Amino acid sequence: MNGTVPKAGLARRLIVVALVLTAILISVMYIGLAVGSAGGGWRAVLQILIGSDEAHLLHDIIWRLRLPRVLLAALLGATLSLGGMVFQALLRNPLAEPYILGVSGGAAIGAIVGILLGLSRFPGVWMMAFAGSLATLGVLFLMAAGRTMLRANTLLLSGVMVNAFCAAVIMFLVSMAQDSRLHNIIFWLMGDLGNATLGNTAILAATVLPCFILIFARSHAMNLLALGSDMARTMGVNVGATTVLLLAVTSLMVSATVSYCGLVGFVGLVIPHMLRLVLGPDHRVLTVACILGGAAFMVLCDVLARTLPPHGEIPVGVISAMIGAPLFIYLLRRSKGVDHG
Amino acid sequence: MADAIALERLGHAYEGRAVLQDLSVQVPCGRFFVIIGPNGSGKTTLLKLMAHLLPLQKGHLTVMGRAVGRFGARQLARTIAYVPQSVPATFAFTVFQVVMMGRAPHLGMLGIEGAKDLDLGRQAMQLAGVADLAERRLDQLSGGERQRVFIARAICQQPAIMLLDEPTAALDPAHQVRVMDLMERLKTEQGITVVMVSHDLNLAAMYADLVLLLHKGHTAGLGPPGKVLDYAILEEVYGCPLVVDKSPLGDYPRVHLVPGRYMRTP
Repeated sequence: MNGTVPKAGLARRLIVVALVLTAILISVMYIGLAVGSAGGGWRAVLQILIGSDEAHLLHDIIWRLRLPRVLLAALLGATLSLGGMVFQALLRNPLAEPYILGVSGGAAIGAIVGILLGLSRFPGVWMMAFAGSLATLGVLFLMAAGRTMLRANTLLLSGVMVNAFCAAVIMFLVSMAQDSRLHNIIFWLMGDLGNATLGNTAILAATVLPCFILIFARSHAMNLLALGSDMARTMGVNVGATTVLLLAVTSLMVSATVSYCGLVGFVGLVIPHMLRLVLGPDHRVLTVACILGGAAFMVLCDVLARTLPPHGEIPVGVISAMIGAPLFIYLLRRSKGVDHG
Repeated sequence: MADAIALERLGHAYEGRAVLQDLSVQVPCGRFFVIIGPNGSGKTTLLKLMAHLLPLQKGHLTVMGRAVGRFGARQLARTIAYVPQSVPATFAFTVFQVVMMGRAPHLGMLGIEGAKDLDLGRQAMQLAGVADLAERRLDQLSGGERQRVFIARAICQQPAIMLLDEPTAALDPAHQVRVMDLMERLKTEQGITVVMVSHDLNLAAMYADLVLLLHKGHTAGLGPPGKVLDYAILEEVYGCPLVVDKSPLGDYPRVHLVPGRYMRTP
């Protein structure tokens, strides 16, 4: 038999990728717990986490502030990366990102209205943002429905238009806002993890984790869809149902997450690309890698956002774009002859 | 012999414009069946209907004696493999990954393949002559190589029926013959029914057991090449002068185009 034919072993590849990225994620999360403005200590964190030192000064800071925040950052990174991967696969467009269907615009309008009304961050602003993003999705699906339903270009253009319209509304609302609320609005628009609590993060986790599982279950169908919908259909994929399921599930989890964290940009575009450059295009591997790798990347960005400035913090979306863009260009240049992943 | 595919009074229209009308055709099991006809005569539409890629509008279509609508998607995919004219190469899958995708209708939801499936993939690559390309990326292959990769993928699907849409259109003569020989081999060695759309009348003459000549969505001829590839029928359908003689290689017709300078102007 020909020597160049590989011994594939997808299961082993999946396990290796999962183990390596889990190790990275846990290390980064540990760093996230150990550093902060109140000081830290590597061993103290471990003692506090296993509960052997409840009297420690950092006990409350770690359990009430850092742990929820680290977990929220992980969820956010995982959701956005996975969302970007799904949209890139479904729309067969390498520039697709999780906000491409107008989710971000709707969420932003909802959140800004919530902030202007003086609602609390959770659940008030969150609910408003979530309702806003679901409303834009509803409008989009109504627009795209009918004859040309779910055609990639129709969806893309509709999404771009919805986002453009929302941008105008956002500008209008921002221009009308009072100074005291403006800071909150701008932080929300740039992405902000500062209000995490364990309870809220758990609610978010309960929303997005089932979505992760559904997407993983359809990951091989995404591989087949990459060869075009005709090919996928003749290989036994129910293309319509799969597309609708993936679009709905992905939009839902992205809406839920950005409604809480704000519009963290760039991660959803760049992490799936980076992982594809390194690991290849198999969506079964990529799904796992996007969840774990996206989570690790976002936790790291959040650590930097908290620790780099001497006072206060930078919005995490700023950091993620500042690191992500150069890293991506480096990887792209290194892999010669690649068109787009 | 049972029919692999049978059409009864099949009709199809795109937005009110009829493409196929009242077509009744049987494709017997284990035959090489070539669909020819001028541009726009409905060849690709017919092939897509056979692959159940288009909804059935009018008439009946049975696959292995069973109405096509009664197949589940995966079940149909275990029976019919389809090789389209061209395939987008959006993501950089390797040749081996693409070939292994052919196993999808036989495997679980995640398509995790066992040793047997990997063997089938290797055999399919050997048959299609792409084994040495296994680790190459699809988007770096030539059109001809890519076409053979998709044929390997179709073989890996282990179908009873293989549908191909102009698989030789982009190939040089050597690769044309190789692809056609391979299809003939699949037919004789594995009993696969091959249904192919082609523009090449001579390839049809050389390889087909049965030829279906389509003209404006109707059957203009159906039967062995010697019967259908008759100059009177062909000239009427294609609307150009043709010379048909006997091939020096065997008992089948050979079709020549006639350059305009040989035509006497009245």
